[in-house]
Amino acid sequence: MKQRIVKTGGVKATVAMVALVVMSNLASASEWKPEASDRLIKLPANIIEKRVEKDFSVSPMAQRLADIDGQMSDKTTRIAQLQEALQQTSGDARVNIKYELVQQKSDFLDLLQESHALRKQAATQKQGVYQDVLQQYRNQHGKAQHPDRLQLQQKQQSALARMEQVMAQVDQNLMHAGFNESSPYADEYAQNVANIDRLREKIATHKANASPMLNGAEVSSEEYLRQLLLNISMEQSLLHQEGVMLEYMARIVALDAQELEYQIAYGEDADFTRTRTVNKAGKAVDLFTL
Amino acid sequence: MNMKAKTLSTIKLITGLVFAASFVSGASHANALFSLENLERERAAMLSAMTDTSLDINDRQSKVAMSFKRMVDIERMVLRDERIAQSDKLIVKKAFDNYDLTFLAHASTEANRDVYSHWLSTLNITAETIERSEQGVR
Repeated sequence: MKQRIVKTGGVKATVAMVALVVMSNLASASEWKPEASDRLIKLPANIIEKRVEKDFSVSPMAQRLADIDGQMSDKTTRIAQLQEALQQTSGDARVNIKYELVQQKSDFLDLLQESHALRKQAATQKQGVYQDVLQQYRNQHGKAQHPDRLQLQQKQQSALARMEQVMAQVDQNLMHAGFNESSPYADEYAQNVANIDRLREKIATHKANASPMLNGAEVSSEEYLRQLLLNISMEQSLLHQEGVMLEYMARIVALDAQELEYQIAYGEDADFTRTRTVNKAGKAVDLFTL
Repeated sequence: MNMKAKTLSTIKLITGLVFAASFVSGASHANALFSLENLERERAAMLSAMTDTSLDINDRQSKVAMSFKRMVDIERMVLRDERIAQSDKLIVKKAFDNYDLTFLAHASTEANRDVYSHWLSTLNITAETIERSEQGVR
């Protein structure tokens, strides 16, 4: 009897725990605080993704997720064993197995809930990082592509093209005027311009500076970042669905626990709904007349 | 630490240093307009020499020729300097709004005119407009 009372108390506690959202130890032991640093923003978009994923993989949050995964595998195995054993037992042993099954399922749900919360948090943080990077990227490129600035650049280019057409003539006129030696600027600057062009070309064709690829096609860094944000959004939708499933699983375990609680308290076959037979005067008349 | 880890950490250090280094300083960007300002000064000095009545013809020619040579260099510097178009200063906008006045040395050669005539022509100052002009208080 005493054992049953203890067990009923345990089941009640399980019901309560399943109904509550347990998030006490999430924040401290499983943190990940990524930041869109200046150095990160300078990297190509596909490398940014790799850097963020690598940073996440070594964080306490990812380690905790791996740990939870291990524990969940153990729980799944144990639940399968118990479900098998349940088919072959009866009486008190069956109640004991049911009790452990509910507890194991409750523990499994706690782990799943923690894992779900952590994955949700990680997705939100990744989203924050990519949004920061995209914003800073747009700020930098927005400045460079301001209409006034673009117009000025175009004017400079067309002016240079116009000037280049008469440069030889100007140099010839200078020689006629007695300036036989070209200025140091003319020699060195032209050489430097050629060298700068060569260096730029090398950078443009460098493998490490190649445009990121999406489905086999080259895309801009901005497009790649937008795709990363879209992926996270899809992941969040899936996590939302998983949350709904988690909620239903918790309700089923709570109902299982409740059923078990009633079973332990009132017995499996006890029927307290029938009205007890009451001794009535009419039925006792024979006792007095015979 | 094994060899691979050591190599990787060295490469990381080099990458970090190279990315962090900025060889083109902010001061360099600030100085980008110096060449344009020098061009303005040189052009003003040349036009001043051309209209300076105290100079004899040889001195004037010599001064103008020297100025012209300097202007050729500076004009090319201004047009090849990408930093200038990054600026939002009024001096830059004005400079590119009128090629013929800003890049006087090259524009005059292109028009097959001497610098002074080209400058006057661009400003629409001709013998006729001078003749039609009246002296008075503005």
